[in-house]
Amino acid sequence: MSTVSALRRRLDAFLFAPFAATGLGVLRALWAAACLMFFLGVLPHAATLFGPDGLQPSDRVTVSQFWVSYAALLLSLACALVGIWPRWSTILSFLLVLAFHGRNPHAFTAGDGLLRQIGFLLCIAPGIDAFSLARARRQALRFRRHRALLPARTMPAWPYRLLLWTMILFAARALWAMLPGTAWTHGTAAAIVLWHPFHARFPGTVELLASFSRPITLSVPIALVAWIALLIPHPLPILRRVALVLTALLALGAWLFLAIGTLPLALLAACCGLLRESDRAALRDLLNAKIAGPIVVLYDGECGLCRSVAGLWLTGDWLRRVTAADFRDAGARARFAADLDPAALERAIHIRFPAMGATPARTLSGFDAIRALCRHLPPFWPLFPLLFVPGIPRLGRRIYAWIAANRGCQCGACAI
Amino acid sequence: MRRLARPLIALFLLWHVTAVTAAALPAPRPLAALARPYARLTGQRQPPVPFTPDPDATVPFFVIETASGTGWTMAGAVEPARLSPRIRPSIARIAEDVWRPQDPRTEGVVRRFLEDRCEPLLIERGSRVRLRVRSIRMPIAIEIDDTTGAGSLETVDLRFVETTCPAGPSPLSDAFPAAAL
Repeated sequence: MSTVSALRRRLDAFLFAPFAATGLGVLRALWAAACLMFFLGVLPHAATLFGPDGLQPSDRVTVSQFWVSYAALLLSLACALVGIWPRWSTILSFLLVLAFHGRNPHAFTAGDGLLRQIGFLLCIAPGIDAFSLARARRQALRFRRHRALLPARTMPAWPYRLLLWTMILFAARALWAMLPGTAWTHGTAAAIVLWHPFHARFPGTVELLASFSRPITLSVPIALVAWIALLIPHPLPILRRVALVLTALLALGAWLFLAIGTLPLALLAACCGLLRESDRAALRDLLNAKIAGPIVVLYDGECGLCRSVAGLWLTGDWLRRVTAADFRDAGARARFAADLDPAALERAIHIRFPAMGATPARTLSGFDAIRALCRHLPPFWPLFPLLFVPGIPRLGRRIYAWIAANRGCQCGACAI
Repeated sequence: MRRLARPLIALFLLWHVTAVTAAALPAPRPLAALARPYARLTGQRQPPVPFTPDPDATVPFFVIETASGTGWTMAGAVEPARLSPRIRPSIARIAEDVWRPQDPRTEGVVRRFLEDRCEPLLIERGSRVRLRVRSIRMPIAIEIDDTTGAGSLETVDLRFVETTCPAGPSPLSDAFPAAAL
């Protein structure tokens, strides 16, 4: 009896132990991005590949119905990517992707098969709302009301285990299929793929890359073996990281240099989805190695808009570089802003940047502070270069000054 | 109900993993036969493993020919390298199906593709056209340094698909860029 209950406890811990849901949220976004890139890429040929008058004629759908479903697919994938109604947009995307895969299977490759498998997992897994706009909005609201973020989103461990099993099965099948061949053991497989006019994305780079054929080729079976070795009970943590890093690097290289469909992106998505909190912390430590301390955002705690914006920034602080401090709180002011003029703090947001490599510590305010902060917040990276476009800084400073002067405060006037 | 949730989830996961693994087995087995409909329904069919057992060193070229007298004249050719990288994997997949037919629907797909080419290639309506898949074998299958002269490359005609150009204009959009032909 005790053996049965011990077994039950172990199974319970194996499948239902709390697990950070961030990886699954990242997986949802990357899965949707990979599908979206494919369906946007073939948009000019969509009617031929999938349309009722295309390569596979059909009487069951009209041309307008086809285009409506294609638009719905693109829209739902975009929503799943950024995380608007993440659950429903992911389910709708998966069903539509499945329908298009069934419509013309000839148009899809191995990567699309892997994406289909990941899509089903996302539909049934809890916690896919992590890393989404929906959650960012909730975080901002929570920070506005309580000056603290929601606790980290967790889920049971089973979606992670299922994704890992998908990858192990994929690796085992790939290794099994490679065994009868000779090119993988001779180290020439990468050269063949890179030279093949169907696969090479930039024919000019082929000769340069072909000289690395042997190490590239041999690293493929090594990565596959590392995945399969994860079946050993209590594998060394380094083994999982070898499998993840090697696969991610190979996928990234394949994506850059080969036109082989969505397989590289599907593999990259799976690798990111399998990152654990410890892996993400290790990655962050690596990226933050040259930063001497936290970036301190001195916001106005009496202003609702300021609290919402600070909450949004903290939500986007994926690299864990930012600390938000309410300058109206005497303790926080004494700790982080003792040397700053209270009237200046009142006029504009101040952000204190620690020393970063050769750049000394500095304090910026207003638009310039926000612009410098964007560099450290990955969701705002697309915005960062735009803020340097001539004319934008001048306009930005004016808009910022207007918003800061007209922001609402709980106690009427914004005075310390 | 809450007490039942975990055992039910565990049972479903056990079934799912077993079914997906069984459906991935190459040889037909009783469990695989049972699992395949589930795998198909949930999109869990195992994807093909690319570049196995070896990456194919065969480069296919698609030559479109029209009937003239007793022989055939070349009207155009699909050159994969000139297709957009975004559409190339799909065309490559169709091409792969053409020379290694596994799906009965392939023939129809290829015929349709061929009919679509009649108008851009100015082939008269009602003319007989055929798609000839020619292939050359790259001289790097085993050793990279094995540089055989291009003139001596092995050329093989693999498969023909024949059809008649449709009477009206092709209903397909000008999907495959004219530059590819």
